[in-house]
Amino acid sequence: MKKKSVKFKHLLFKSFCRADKMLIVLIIASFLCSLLISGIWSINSASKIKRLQDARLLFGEYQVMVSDIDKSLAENILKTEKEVKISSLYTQRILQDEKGFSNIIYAQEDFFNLSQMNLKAGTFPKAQNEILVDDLYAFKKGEDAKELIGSKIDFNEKEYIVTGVINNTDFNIAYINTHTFVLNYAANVGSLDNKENISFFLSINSADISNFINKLSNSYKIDSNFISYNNSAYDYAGINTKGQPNGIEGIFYRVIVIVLGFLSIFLIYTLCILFIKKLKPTTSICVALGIDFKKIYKSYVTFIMFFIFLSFILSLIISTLLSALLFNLNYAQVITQNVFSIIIIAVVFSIVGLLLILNIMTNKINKVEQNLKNPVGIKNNRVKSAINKRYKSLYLSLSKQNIAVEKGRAALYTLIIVISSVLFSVSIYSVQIFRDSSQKVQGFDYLLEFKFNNVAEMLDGLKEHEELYKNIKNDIGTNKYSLFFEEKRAGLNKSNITKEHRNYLEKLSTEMSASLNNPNTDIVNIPVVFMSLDNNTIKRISEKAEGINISQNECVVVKNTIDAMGSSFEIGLNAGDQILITIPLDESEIEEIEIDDTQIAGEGFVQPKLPETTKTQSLKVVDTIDYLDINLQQIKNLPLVIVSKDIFDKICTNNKYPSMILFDNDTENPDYLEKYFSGKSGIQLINLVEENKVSEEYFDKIDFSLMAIMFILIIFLTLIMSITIVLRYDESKAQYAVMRAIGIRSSNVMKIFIYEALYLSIISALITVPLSILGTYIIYKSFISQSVFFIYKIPVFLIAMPIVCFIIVSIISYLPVILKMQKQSIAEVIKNE
Amino acid sequence: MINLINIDKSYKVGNEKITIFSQYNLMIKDGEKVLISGPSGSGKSTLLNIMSTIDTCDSGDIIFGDINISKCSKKMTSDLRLNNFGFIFQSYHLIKTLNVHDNILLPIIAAGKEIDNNYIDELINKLGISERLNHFPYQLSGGEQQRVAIARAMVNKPNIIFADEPTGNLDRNNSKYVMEALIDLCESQGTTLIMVTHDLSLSSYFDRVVSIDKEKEA
Repeated sequence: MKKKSVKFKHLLFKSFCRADKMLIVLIIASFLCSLLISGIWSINSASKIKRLQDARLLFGEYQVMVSDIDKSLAENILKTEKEVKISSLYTQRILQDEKGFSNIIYAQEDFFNLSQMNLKAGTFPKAQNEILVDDLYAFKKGEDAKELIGSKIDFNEKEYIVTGVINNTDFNIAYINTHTFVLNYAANVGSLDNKENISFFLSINSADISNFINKLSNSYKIDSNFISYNNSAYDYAGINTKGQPNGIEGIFYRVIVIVLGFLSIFLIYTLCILFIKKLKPTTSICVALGIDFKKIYKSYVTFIMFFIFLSFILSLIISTLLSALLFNLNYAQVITQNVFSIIIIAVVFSIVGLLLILNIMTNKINKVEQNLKNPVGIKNNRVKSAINKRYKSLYLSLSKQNIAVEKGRAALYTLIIVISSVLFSVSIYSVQIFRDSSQKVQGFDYLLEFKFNNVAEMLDGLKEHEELYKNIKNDIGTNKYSLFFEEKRAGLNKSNITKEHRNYLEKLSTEMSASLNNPNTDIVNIPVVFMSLDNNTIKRISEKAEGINISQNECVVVKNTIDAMGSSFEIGLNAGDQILITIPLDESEIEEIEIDDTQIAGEGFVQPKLPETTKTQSLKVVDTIDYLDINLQQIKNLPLVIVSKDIFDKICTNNKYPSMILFDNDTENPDYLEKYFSGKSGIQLINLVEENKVSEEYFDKIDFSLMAIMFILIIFLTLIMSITIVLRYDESKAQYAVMRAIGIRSSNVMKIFIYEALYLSIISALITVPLSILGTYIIYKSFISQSVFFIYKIPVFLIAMPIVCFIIVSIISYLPVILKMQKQSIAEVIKNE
Repeated sequence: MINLINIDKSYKVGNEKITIFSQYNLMIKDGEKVLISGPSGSGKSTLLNIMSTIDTCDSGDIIFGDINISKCSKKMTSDLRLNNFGFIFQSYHLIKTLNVHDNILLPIIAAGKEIDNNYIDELINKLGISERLNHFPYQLSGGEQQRVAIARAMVNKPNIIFADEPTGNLDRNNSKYVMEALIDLCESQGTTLIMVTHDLSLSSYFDRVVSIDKEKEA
């Protein structure tokens, strides 16, 4: 008969599997942890892939712009190159007459798919005599965009029918009084000279953009200076070319997954230890039979890691399948995008394994140490001190005694609690910082935009409407107008500019809206928005409840600039700094020069030195405001400088769009204001609540996700604390059973336990708070390094918040132990321990 | 006096019900030294646990003095154990984080009683542990640990001492030392001693031997 060989490991494995239901708990916990990590990441990645797929349909892989080539070459490229998916030919002419500049674009119908311009109303022109005009042109005509459609206009000595209106484009910023007109390329191609330079957009569905660019340069001999490309599809999808999420969302998901990873390590590790403790009887018997302790322990670690690994793999498969199904994607695509979560899970797996192996070693060390302990060295005679205090603090003393004698274990539990609660507190702080920043851009009342050509006209308008404003004030009560703004460049002049400050400004210069024109001097140029605010307004939209008085040579700087997506950056100006601003000279101040007209067209004409039309004025920063409690898309996320009314009027001599804020908190009846202003010429009423709707939806979404994640973190923390406390109880349950056997009431025994846990919790909380603030600062700094800025401010009440949560979590965590203690039979515990 | 009347006790192992006692009766007088013996699994320790209130019976009455223990609340049984009973376990079960001195004093402090220093000194000297007061349990031998456990059991001057195989883990010399010390202390205090063991060689120390199998059969 053939003997079937049975290995010791197989027997141990059988015993391991049957040992305790803790194994099931461990497997479920490992599975849930990795499912959470891979699930969050998979859904995030899959949604990005989906967005990328959609974006590719719209933009292709890359959007290439080739400018200033002749028409035949452009058409030849379009015919030959198969990678070109969407293309758009256009050419541009600039005409000048006494009214100003006209920018004429001969474009194909797909032009708006690739251009920054939008068709606001109407349709793309089809015939030769059809034209699109811009909204500024419509405004100057005094007509609503829609009313202009179908009307005839005289332009460039021809008569055209307006088929639609486009939004005011970047071209209008470059030229004063410039308007953009769009004609149909195909209908007008005959009138274009073959040699006329043409620009065209190409959407390239090429995996290798550099090859295509080389081809354009080498095969078609196009100067590389006239070729530019961008990856609009990736930008649109919010991912980089490697498929990883970009910007704040990417950082957000990464941070969450890493935090969950850390928490998973503690959760799984503590469960493992708990489980190994449950295997103690089997281990003892095996050791008694002469089997090496290390061999048994190593086998346990192998078995545990095997089950954890299985649960990890299972969760990865499930998250991949689910996200692929949810977004209708190819499985392979989702797997490749899941690399980050796989790395995190692998790290969790490795660290848990490493900790377990370390545990084998420390177990041995502990025993040796224990034998070497000097009894005389232990001086903690807590009971004696308890006697002196007339027994009042007996149970507290006993708990302290437990901690004092078992320092190593107490330190381990404190460490586990500290790390998990630091992660938790950092998350609360970070979430609050994000929410605090994002709240500043929530919808805010109404904006009145005056369609005047300059400040003088606007001021006249204000006078004309003086009666109207009085009425507004009387009728609506809380309304107030007082904010004007205009973007201007200012020179920041600091005599003692530090290296760090220069680096910071250089960073702003390259990554944010600001520009550092000359980093080698002490003067830098940053585009800022100048505002003039009355005191009432300052009180309402800043922290300066007392308002500020600004004289002519002074200004107040709003330190933080918050963009529509909630991130912010600091301008880096402080009270005492100087700002150099450029203001136009009065006509009387401009020096007149004489030019000899007869020489202008002739040879040897030398351009005379033109007179200065502006002068520089220095403004002292007298005060700073952290941030304004308002966000306007119109000011393009630029730093804000508040100046006096006089200076503002001078700066904004050519202001075309002066605006003011109309505060109205009466959200019950928003239509009232719109009716109030309808038909008032020169005034456009913008509902800022509507305007900021996209931001608000974005914040709602992020807010919901943050809250959900906070909830998950709280569950994690509760689980970890619960397990830690159960673990602590399990270690000491025999001791507690004996206490109960000799007659100490269970409520008093519980006291010892609770005092001990509270003692450790207080120590943990004291360590946690500074560590959490530091941790949050590190995260904040890492956000800054990714060009995502928040206002770093942790209010005092917020510091208490995680501690309160921590106490609640602690109370909940005691429940399993209380229940266990109530149920446990003293006789059983004493018999088994 | 402790009187067990019609005690029933059974355990469930899976679906199987194992009866330990059925209508079991036992009476132990004050100051009596009773040895409970019987083979393994006969229910000696269970009986001791039921009498000492750390386990419960399914039905029946346990009368201590004029109190029916089986009807008492958990709080009352705790107080009873603290003030009237003393415990000695086979595995000593000292509190590992307390030194010898603190272990001995624990019940008296928990009961909130005044400490009788003369009595404690006498107790410690009789048990030969006066040199070990600052030591922790893991630094003591088995015999020493058991003597500390006896001191802890006796410190509150209990009416009854319950001892569950107190010499089970000790060698002959230590067993003798422990037993003599225990009997001496009980006799000097007039304390009832109820001890469980299967070592019948110890029966000479006791007034009565209760064989659990025979009693059950009876």
